[in-house]
Amino acid sequence: MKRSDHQLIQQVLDGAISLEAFDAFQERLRGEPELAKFYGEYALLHHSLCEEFEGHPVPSAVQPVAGRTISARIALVAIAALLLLAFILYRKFPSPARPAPVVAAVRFSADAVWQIDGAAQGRGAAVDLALGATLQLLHGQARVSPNPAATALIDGPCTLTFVSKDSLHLADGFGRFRLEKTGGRLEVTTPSISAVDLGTEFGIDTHQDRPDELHVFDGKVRMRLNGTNGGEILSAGEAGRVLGPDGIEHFTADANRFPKELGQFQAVVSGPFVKADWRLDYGNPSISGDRIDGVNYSVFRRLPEPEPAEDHPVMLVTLEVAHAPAGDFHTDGWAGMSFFSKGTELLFFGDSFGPERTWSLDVKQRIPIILPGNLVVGPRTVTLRYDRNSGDVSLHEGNLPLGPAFCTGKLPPGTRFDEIRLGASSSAALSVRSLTIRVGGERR
Amino acid sequence: MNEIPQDSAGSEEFVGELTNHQTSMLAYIRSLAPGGSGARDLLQEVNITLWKKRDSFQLGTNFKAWAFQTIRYHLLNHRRRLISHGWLVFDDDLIERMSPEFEVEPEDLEERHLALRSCLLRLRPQDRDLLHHRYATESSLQEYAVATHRSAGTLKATLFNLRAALKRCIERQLLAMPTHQR
Repeated sequence: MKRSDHQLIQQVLDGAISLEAFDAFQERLRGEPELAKFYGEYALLHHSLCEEFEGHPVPSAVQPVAGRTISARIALVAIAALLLLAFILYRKFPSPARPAPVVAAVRFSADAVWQIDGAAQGRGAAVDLALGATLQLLHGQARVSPNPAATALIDGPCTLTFVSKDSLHLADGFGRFRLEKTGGRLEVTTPSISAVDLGTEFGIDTHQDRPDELHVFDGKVRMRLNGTNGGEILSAGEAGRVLGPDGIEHFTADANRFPKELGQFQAVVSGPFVKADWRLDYGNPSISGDRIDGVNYSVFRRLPEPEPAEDHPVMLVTLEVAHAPAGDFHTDGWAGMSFFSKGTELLFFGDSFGPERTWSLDVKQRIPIILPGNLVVGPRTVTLRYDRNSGDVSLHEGNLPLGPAFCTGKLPPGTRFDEIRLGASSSAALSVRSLTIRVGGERR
Repeated sequence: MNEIPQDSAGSEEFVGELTNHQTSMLAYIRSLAPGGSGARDLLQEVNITLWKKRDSFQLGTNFKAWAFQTIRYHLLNHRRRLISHGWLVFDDDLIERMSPEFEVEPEDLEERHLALRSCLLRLRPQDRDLLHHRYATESSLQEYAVATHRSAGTLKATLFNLRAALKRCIERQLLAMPTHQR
């Protein structure tokens, strides 16, 4: 290969070449297999160099060369003067703090279940996403703030990537986006469109099984099909749906399809145990302020209202189980909590009837019981999540926020419960230290 | 009797394949679409596509071929956007024709990287700094020339010679490696 070919290939890899020259290069590649091979070798070198250096801070060895006409003495005086000046300036104007890393602040609803691909910091229901991180919201809602003026409210299941402080990628799901008119910029991309917010509020619906839609609720938004220039500006009340590679179908925006706020929750059962709240079915359990325990017992409690209701469709039940003074939680019998409607048991979680020594879920309309992939063994705190809109039921280790589900099942959507039961079979023991039932979520 | 959460094992295996091929996929993107500075962003776009389509991938089949095909489709579908952001994207026929040239195994890339490191050790510190500046920052060669009291033309020529020398050095190193002697 000629020296000029080395140069040409390096220019291509640096992007330091005009489109016309690149076209000419492509033409040569078509007829010169050797040049293509050579390009491949340089491309691998380029990749290795990128991998070696990208993201590594440049060493501070880049020092200006001192002027040769300045004597050493003058140089020393100059340095001393500079140091003095720097010291005075430092005292007068303390050095600014290091710029904060670019992160997107995320807040989750109490019933949210999520996982993050990429770097993130924070605990509980407040997390900071690093650039490039993808939030997979499986259930519940999350509010994402890529910059102080922009907010995204997403509804699970949803996948959102924090591309930059001005840009989010909604790969799948529903999102409502708002940019305050005071400033800033927000671009939201999906697999088929990009929406540039011009100081406004809008919703995006992107799902694999239907065309992407953009709904504008306030102000104006530029909707552009990926791979095209320009795009169309949609105003408040207007919506656009992707028709194909070149078209946008217009219709009326529907704000009700998009999340409005993080779902709020309130407790309907909590606090110390009061004997009068519970109806003894059989056995002789001990019910005191901080526990209910016993062997071979059954106690019922009516809920104030059948739950969960239409305007708060999600129910979270956190059950803290301790080692019982006598007897075992895991036996061939059963120990746990049941949910009833009009006297019929519809749902159970705990140690189900049978030889498996694990927490499990028993949706009573179906057999067999639902066991986790990895056994969850021993007394512990477990939270059940039930969404009456979808019928999804899941079990999660610990209290809130919810971790990954270890058991999932389905109830008929719309199922409500009017009574709960705690108990254990003749060979088993159940010692409950606390029980909290919360209801909430967003009505849609 | 047991109902194990669907596809949890499959998902893990899928994520494993995806993770193993990240470097190969990145090298492939850099080869087929040179000139852009956001290859990792492009890789993430492809990752998202692969993740969404994971149900259509049969575990045990050739993940690399599937992933690289997805990259090619991605480049074809997003050509106009990429070009508007400064990428150079090869024409469709060239992407298909040259593609096998750029499909490198992760192990081969690792060997190349080790060889590069060995070669970098032989460079003068100021030459390593120049490469570091070129690949770690967004600032121009002109700015670096001002900071180092050298001419931009000299730096450009130096960079050209350095890369040509590194290419030769890596080839020699690879030939000397046991796997390449078999």
